[in-house]
Amino acid sequence: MNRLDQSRDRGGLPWLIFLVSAVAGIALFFIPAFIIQPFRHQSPRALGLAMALRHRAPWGTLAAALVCIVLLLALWSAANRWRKIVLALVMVMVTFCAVMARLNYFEWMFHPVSSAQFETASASKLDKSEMILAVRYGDDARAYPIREMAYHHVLNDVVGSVPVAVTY
Amino acid sequence: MWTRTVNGTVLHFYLAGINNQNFLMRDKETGTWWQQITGKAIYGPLKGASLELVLSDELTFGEWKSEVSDGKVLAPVAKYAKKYDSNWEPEVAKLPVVISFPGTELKSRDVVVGLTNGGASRAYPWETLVKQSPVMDHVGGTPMLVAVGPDGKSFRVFVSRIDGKDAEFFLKGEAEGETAAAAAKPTESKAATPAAAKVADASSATAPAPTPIPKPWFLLDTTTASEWNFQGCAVSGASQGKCLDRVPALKDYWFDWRNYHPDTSIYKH
Repeated sequence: MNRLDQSRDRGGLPWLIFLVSAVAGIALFFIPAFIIQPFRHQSPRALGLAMALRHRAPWGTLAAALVCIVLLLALWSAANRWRKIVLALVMVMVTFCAVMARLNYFEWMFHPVSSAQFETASASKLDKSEMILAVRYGDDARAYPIREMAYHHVLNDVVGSVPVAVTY
Repeated sequence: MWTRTVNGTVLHFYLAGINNQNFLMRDKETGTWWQQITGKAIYGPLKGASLELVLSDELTFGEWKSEVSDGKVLAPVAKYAKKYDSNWEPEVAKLPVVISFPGTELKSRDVVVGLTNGGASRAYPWETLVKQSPVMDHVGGTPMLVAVGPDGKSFRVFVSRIDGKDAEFFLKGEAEGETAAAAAKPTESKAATPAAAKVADASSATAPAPTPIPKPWFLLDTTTASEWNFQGCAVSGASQGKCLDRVPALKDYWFDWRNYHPDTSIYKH
């Protein structure tokens, strides 16, 4: 795609707005996704940027997608075949980012416990050498097998009326 | 483990990403970003807030069961049971690291027990603890007792003071040349080093019983000569009925502990 060609057209401004919105929407999802990768070093500045973008991504990508769709409809009929392809592909990408910004893909890798179930110590099939995280408030003593927590990572629980976040 | 009430609101956390191998969570209520290891809000409406640490233990299931009469165990979620890696520890240890501290004497994936007190942080290499437990030390001006449990895998940290006076502890039976690890892991001696296997053979030659009965595990203090169990409570002697104060501590990889405690020292003895 050649932006210079497009901006020389009489209809250059809508195209420019379309592409800028598209780049913004795509960046709002992909920059944080790129920075916050498991086996990649995160510098404090990059992490700060990633959180700032991801924080704004749900409404930011939606705004970008809305601007894009309006301009796509306006530009569609006058566009030649190649431009229609560009419009359509970019629109697909922006829509993808708007959807992804609303989904937590980390939880696709590590599913959360939606409703924690507990069993008695005697009913548990855990081997006695298995490691657990243990907590106690008053009479309420609970054990969280590390093998389970190392997968789920976070569990919101209430122990003896105290809301706790079990993390591993 | 953290409490999740901040400014009177109960927060619900979810996994939101990763920061140099330590995960980030967000809360559903405000969208704030929190660092798991520090419990601190690092971005968003609650930035600057801190979650309160919950005193928790890292124990073997066997140790916990022996201490707690009617506890509850988080049941595996059937849908995800296949994803629970029974071999998680060696598997995680093999993962690459993205930060390292080359000037320090520990390797990135060395396991340490870390604690912070009075502005000072100290890391205890796990291998040293297993060999030397109980370890007596001072951190931030407070006498500390770091103990690996009878199973050789559980650990706890206590303030090493009885009735406000500094105390010294040692493992009962240690004077007779028995180490905690040997007493604690009779079943693992077969899988241990050839040297350890020889020791096991030698002892079984003198004592015909094939499975040695593990001795009860107690610490003795030098001041009152009382016996203390792994929960830090005296079960006999002049201090009977008393319990030591607990100190929160974290078992972690060296790179992660060092990253969030840049001034930490390493225990050496």
